[in-house]
Amino acid sequence: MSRVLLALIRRLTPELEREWVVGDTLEEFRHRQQIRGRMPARWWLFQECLRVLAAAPAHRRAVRTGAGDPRTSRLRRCSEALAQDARYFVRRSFQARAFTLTAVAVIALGIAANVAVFSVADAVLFRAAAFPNPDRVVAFETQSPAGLDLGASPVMYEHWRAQTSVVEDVTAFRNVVVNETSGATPDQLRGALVSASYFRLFGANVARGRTFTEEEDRPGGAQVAVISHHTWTRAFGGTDIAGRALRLNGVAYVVIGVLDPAFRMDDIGSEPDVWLPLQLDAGSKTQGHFLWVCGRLRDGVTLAQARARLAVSANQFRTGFPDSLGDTATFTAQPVREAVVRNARPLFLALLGAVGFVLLIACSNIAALLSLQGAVRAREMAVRAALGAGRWRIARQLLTESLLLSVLGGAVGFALGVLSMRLLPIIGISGEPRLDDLASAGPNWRLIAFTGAVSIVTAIVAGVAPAVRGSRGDLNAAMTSADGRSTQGPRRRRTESGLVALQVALAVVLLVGCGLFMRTVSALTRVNPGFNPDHVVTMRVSLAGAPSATTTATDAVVRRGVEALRAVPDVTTAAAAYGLPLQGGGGLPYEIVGRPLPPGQRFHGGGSWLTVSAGYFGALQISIERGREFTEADRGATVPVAIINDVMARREWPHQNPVGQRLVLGHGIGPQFQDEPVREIVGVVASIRDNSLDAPPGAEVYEPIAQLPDVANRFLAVGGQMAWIARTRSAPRGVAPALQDALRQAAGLPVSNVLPLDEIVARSLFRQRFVMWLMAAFGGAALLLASIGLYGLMAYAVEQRVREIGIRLALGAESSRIARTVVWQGLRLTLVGTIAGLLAALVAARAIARLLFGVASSDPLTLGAVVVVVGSVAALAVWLPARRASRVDPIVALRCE
Amino acid sequence: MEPPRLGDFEYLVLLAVFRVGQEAYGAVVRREIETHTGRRLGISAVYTTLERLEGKGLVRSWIGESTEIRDGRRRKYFELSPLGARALKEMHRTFAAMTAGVERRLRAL
Repeated sequence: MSRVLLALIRRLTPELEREWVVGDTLEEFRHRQQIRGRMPARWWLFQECLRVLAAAPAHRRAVRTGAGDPRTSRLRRCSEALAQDARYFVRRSFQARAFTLTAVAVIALGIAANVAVFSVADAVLFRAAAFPNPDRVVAFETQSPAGLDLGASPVMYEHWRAQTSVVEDVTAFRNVVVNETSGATPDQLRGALVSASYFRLFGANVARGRTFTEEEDRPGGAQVAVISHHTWTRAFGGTDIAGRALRLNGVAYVVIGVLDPAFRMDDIGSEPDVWLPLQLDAGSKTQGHFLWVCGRLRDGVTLAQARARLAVSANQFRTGFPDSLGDTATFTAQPVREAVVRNARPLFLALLGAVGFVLLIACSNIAALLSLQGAVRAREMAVRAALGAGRWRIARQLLTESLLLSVLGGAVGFALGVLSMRLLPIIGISGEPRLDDLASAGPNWRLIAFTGAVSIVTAIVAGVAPAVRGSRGDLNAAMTSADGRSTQGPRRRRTESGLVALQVALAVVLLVGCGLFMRTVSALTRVNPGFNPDHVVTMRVSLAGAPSATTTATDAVVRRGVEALRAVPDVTTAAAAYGLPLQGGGGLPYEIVGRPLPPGQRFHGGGSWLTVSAGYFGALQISIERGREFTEADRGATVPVAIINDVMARREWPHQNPVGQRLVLGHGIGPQFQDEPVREIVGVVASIRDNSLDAPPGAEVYEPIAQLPDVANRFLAVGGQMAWIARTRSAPRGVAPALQDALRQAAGLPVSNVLPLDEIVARSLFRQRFVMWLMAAFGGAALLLASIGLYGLMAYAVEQRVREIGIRLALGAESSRIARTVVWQGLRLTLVGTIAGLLAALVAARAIARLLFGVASSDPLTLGAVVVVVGSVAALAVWLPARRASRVDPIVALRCE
Repeated sequence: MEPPRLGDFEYLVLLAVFRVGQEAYGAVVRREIETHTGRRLGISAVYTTLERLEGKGLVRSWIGESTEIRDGRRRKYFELSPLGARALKEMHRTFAAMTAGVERRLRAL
């Protein structure tokens, strides 16, 4: 009877107030029962029920309108309920400190990793372009089965410029280094040779003066320069530029304009200090791919339309220049920024994927933690449900809690992620310009938005399932359970076990990735580059201008420089070359004299083209396999000579001695190679890695600098700087300043890029090392998270079974046997997770196979090592709860009822 | 800020909260009024008024811990806010001023 009345009162009371109204009624009822007896109490309850019934509409109205205040909106009540949940959360968090700390740490770890990777990817891939309408500015490219090539020849530029139906403001430019000799000490500047439309295309605003006219951009046009704002303040103190000039490469250039400081070109290559007119000859037939060409899509033209037009135009181009565009090649265009970051994209997508895994592990970890918490709190939830809290109300409370946990974890993770970016330079990850910026630049709003979004997603992914389950609380089960905890064991724990196995599997995938990158880096560092990079100092000097006007002049500078370097104590040998190993360079086709050409072909093959001074092979310790190396005697007047590498020797003369054979380079591909003489091969040398350590060497042809035709020498001097190398006895860093001074005095030109050669080798591995470090961090985080998950689950399982274990021990079970059971349960999960992870890793590794070197994506050593690592960490995570189980005191366990 | 005007039942409930002092929750507030006025009250009426007083900023509330006697249900406690204290004081002064000197006649009515 009284129960029915109570239930009625409960139904009559607005949900928000039920708990205390029913509580007060019950309390009063019991109070009256005690002092007046049963029947009067019941009579009172009956009357109370009528009174509540009478007042119900008013009460409901009062609650609905927010306690009589008509201004209180639904929103406010909602936010009040949220605030109530939040207050409850704070109080509970203090009570369950261990849980809160673990959860926040787990989320923070997951989010920190994501913040770190996102900020790198953001800086490299997604940063806004500095110029207007970046999506409409496209870079022209040649597409062939070998890939996309941004390099373009002047002929291609003229051809693309004529496609006026789809593009406008087509611009060619190239980056160069210029020597500025206006001041007392010569200085190197980064220059860009650009056509007149460049500034219009990239939306460069002039702070002062003007940019180039079309006349100034023609061959033989005026020597004029546009300078950056930085150069203006540095060279002229920001004063009027009228009548000012800069001496660049020995020639006076009139400064006609200063660009706005907001103009930045570091999105596409290095940031120039000075811009000079390209002054390209429209009739030039040069085939060298030394230009970049960009243009803007005409209004109303889509990228697809432009590409279609370019593909058609490629056929016309081929009929005009059959040699410079193969049958399988065609022209295309990309938004310029995409073209620039293309190489980095697969890498960063792989990293974002990896870091997404870490977050997924963190999410499933939190889901498992919340779920276990849900079991502990089943009674609380059941009581709430019984008291009239709706399912939605309980679910909302649980969701609020997971959201608050995520936001807390997100804040900590954000701070950790930003901090970890500052560590980049410390672990030796530097050299990529944008990443250097990143270490110093603070977080931006995109990063903050990203963190917020990730936190909310984490809360939802991790919190929804436990919230739904928690709101479904079963009053009977929860209340009748002896220790006030849930008894819904098997089903619930199956879910958590699944989550833990999932975490192990994901961790295995990441660790396999990490192992593969470690093996890649180790394989790359073991690659024999073909030269000895130890104890070698390298330096760069730009010879553009007078020093490269003739080969004789260049040769004189080279000899002076090499002699000066050799004169420095501690130096054993020295030499010079246009270009250094691993830094790439040009390629040229060759024709072998006296060998008939295959039908339809104009060359026998192609290879890297390296021009070096006498003593180069000795200085780099590149071994001479046949014949001799270049000497001081190989000069303009003597027989033109060349040296080839063993790859080329095997390819062209498999059964013959190449020494004494003759070949001619680059004939017919442009005016700069028109004067190339027929050269006699005087030696065969070991191959070097001239582009990167992971690319197997192809054919390489060396020429002595002293025998370069003048026009080819000028071409090389404008495009690249002369590199000097000196082999030292002591540590190269210590000798470098003396070497730099000696070379500057001998050449009378600024010396830059003073670097030990082994550092150039190390820098060429920057990308792989970077990935390795990140993957190691992710793999470690994943392993840590998975082991926390495993430990948490096993510890909970032991805690739940303390009574049972106590009984077993009391009945004479051996404690070691009990520990074994726990260990076996944990290891079984690990085993399932590891097997699933290995299978997934085999699939995932195929996706990153292109980024690997010297290791198969199914490398058994890596897989084995991962199994061992995961197994031992899991064993530790399981051993702790197992030890706890074996140490249960039967007396205490049975008494703790 | 001027304390808002109070209805007579609001005044009663506010006084009851004041009388109970700490630990004023619905049941004891009702008991306090019932004991001193002899009126029979429904608990809903008490809460409706308490909520209204809270909406006017005259009382503050918080949720307590769960209690055994109520099968784990929590209590909602109320206390006077500074504004409520002022309202009470003013109300009392008004009544005291109006009844001053006529107490005997009032009792004789």
